[in-house]
Amino acid sequence: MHHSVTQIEHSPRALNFLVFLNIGVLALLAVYFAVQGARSTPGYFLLAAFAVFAAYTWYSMRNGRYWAWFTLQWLFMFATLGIALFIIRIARMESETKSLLYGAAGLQIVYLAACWIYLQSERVRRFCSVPGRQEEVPARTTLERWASVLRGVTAVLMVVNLYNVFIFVPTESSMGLVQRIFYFHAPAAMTAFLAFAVTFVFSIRYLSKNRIWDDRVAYCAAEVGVLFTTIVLTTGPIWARPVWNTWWTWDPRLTTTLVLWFIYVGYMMLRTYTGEEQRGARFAAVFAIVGFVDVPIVYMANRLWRTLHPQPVVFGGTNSGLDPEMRYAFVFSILTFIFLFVFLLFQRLRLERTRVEINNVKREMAFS
Amino acid sequence: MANLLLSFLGWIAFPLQTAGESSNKNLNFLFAAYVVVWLLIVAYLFSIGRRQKRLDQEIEVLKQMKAEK
Repeated sequence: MHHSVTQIEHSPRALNFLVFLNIGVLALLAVYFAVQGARSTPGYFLLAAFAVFAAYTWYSMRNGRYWAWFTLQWLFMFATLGIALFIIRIARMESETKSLLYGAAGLQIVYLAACWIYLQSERVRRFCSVPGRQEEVPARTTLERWASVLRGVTAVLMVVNLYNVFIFVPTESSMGLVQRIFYFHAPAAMTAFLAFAVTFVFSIRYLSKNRIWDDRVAYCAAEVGVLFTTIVLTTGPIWARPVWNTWWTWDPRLTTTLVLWFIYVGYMMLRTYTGEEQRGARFAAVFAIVGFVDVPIVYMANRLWRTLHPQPVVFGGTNSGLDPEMRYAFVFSILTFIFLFVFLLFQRLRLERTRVEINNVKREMAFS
Repeated sequence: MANLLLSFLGWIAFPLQTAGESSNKNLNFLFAAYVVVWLLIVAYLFSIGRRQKRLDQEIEVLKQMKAEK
């Protein structure tokens, strides 16, 4: 089976792009520091890193360096972000600006090292089993291998997250113990947005390239996104009851989140119950793309309208922000939930992979 | 299972505030939220595992039928 490994090995484009990537990230950081001045938040850095890595991932996928490359990038990005944040935490830097700079530099060094190891080591490439472009779906062993790696990493992160949320982080002064729900509620919401963004991207891919696997990835990501939105819609009222003295209110943030849940449940039902596969997939893809409009509305709801929902503590403006220990626990929780999302998505994709195999076997039997 | 046990240990080891009744009630809400999160995730994983097992069995049967043909 032909692999696209030689493309990575000998393509000057790939190596040049690594350089471009680093320059791009540093340029974004420079713009950020210029805009923010002395004030800085790790969240802005995360946003910039996400954008650059998302662009590079898109580039990689377009060139057929699909699952392993994509997963490798995400894994190393989050691992190095975690390391950078940990260094920031233990180094007790004077200013956040300095700590971000060191964190960004550390991220670049580790990412470059990871890419170099990948390019140099045949053993690592074989382990990653990069599929060639002519494959319709990733190999079963590739998905299983990565699912088991992710399972271990996610489990460790969740245990550490438990410690952070229940023991490490200080108790908030006005809401008390119940405020700790924030460390599940908000990361679950962000992860749901990420999941629906994956659905959005893969739905566009499906409409442009007509590959049924893109439709399956979109559906699986939406399913996991609905799970995380359900977590948001259940933990939110549990938190609201002691704080607002009500389980639910038709507040803009809550209402738009509920609408988001209905949109993607509707997408899943549309995809499941539409008869002919290609046509149903096209309808559902358009529905998912249009439905994604609600995600920025949910995100901006407590900025645009008067709302009972707490104001944002990240990217929230002049009076927003978190205590450093709370910020660390919050960012770590986001990282944990994203790993959990990737793990659940891989598990779900294994299921789809098996369905494809069954369909292929049935087709072979019908035509033999 | 291990995570549920750890969460329970974390909960009982956590130093309770001195405020008393309202604090304990808030702890109940925190515990409930935490249980909901874990139940949803575990239920989803269980559902995937069950579907995967069913599909694996189906594919084995089909492969056997194909081999016999």
